[in-house]
Amino acid sequence: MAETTGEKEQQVLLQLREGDRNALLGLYKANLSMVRNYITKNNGAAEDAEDLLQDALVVLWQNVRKPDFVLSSKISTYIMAVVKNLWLKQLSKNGRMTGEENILPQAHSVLPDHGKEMDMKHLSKAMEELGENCRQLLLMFYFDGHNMETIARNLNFANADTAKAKKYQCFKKLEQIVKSRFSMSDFLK
Amino acid sequence: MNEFDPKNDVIDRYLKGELGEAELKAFEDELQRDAELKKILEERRLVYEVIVRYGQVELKHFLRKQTTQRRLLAISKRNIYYAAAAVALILVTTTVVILTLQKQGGQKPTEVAEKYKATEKLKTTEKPEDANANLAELKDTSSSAIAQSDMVISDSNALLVAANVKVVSIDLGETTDDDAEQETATMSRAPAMAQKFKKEAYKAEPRGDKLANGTDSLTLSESAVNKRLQSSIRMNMNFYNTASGEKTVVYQIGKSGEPELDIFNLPYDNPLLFADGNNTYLKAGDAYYQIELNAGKIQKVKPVSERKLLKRFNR
Repeated sequence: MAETTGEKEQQVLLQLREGDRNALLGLYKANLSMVRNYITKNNGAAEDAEDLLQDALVVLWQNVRKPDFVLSSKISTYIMAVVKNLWLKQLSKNGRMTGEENILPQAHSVLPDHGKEMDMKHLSKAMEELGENCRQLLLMFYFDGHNMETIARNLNFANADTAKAKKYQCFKKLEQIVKSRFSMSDFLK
Repeated sequence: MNEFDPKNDVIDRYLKGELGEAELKAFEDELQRDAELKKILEERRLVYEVIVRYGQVELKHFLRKQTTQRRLLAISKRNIYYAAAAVALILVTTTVVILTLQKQGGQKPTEVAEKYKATEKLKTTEKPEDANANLAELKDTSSSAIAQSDMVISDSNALLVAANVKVVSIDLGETTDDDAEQETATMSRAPAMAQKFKKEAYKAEPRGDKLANGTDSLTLSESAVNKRLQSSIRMNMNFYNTASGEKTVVYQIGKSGEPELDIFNLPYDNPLLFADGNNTYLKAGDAYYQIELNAGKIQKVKPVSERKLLKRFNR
């Protein structure tokens, strides 16, 4: 039985919500040439396109599990909107305008916006010092945005409450690490 | 604030952007009034951002690694398969090699294609011996053309030869589930798979007379292309010894963004074709060339320096 496009899209969204990275990879491949076409026609290189698509997919990944996430268009359309947004931001930062600035829909902004980049080296150190179990748990809750039931199931906790308690502990632990080992300026470049 | 304070949840949801409008306003008001709460929030916000930023970078790194890995493999000198053997891949249903040199006549590409299809048909019905005869004849035709080009190659005018190659595309029909399985072959298993697919190559039946666009050029269906894309191999290649008149198949996404399947014969033994999305490159022996695949037209080939290419692909 053939699937309709709508069903296929729902399938992909479901896989994304469940945390299936291969579904994300599939979206990368399916949308690469579209993004490349747009970027190369708008003052960009192919490498920019790949970079932006990756960023856009990270945005999608984070948003797809939010309770208010509703996709009223095709996934490709959404991805393209995010890409355009990111690209315009980049162009305006570099002073290369294309004249499209005000026309596009705003993508959910999920990138923390200090105006500065976070220093990856210190981030990694802190997260690695945390240990794998805590790291996974915190990422699943705060980054992926899974609910406690899902997390409990995937990480083999007895139930959502025990997972939640552990999450609190892990968060505190990371807070300690961040406070005592690093100062604010270590993280922000 | 202890672990069981309900504010913990509110703070979490605030950080994740999940508070409804009313809740958000209420919380922000409270932050104004309660300095202690504000302090706690700011501390937690930093930790939250560490987690999220780490997650983003790690996920992006995953995507980048998964999508560039095979390109790097294609040119990585550490991979002995690339030093030694051709990359062979997935195949499709029917393939034919047509090669004509501009200078000499010979059969027109479409004629050869028709003949090949007829041959395939024969094979699957009652007259396999006729099929073999046809095939032999076909090979002779194309092999003489190839032989010519090989001679020119030995003059080290490789560029000239490639420039004289005419590319013709043939419809390959729909892919089957078998193809999908074949498509998951990775480059490191290439040589073994090459053997397997070589045998399979003539098995499937051609799908009637599908010549799209009224031209010599045919396109794969979008789903067929997407299936290939999912295997994350940019080029599906099947190389045989061209001197014996066998075939070379290359598939790529054309410049217009439309899928194009081009079949052509390269007058090199075991050449290696790879692409970075913008350009297609060929490695023949120790030399590298950048080539443009133009269906039905003259090919353009120019040498590129190995060092430059390695730099490009290993970035």
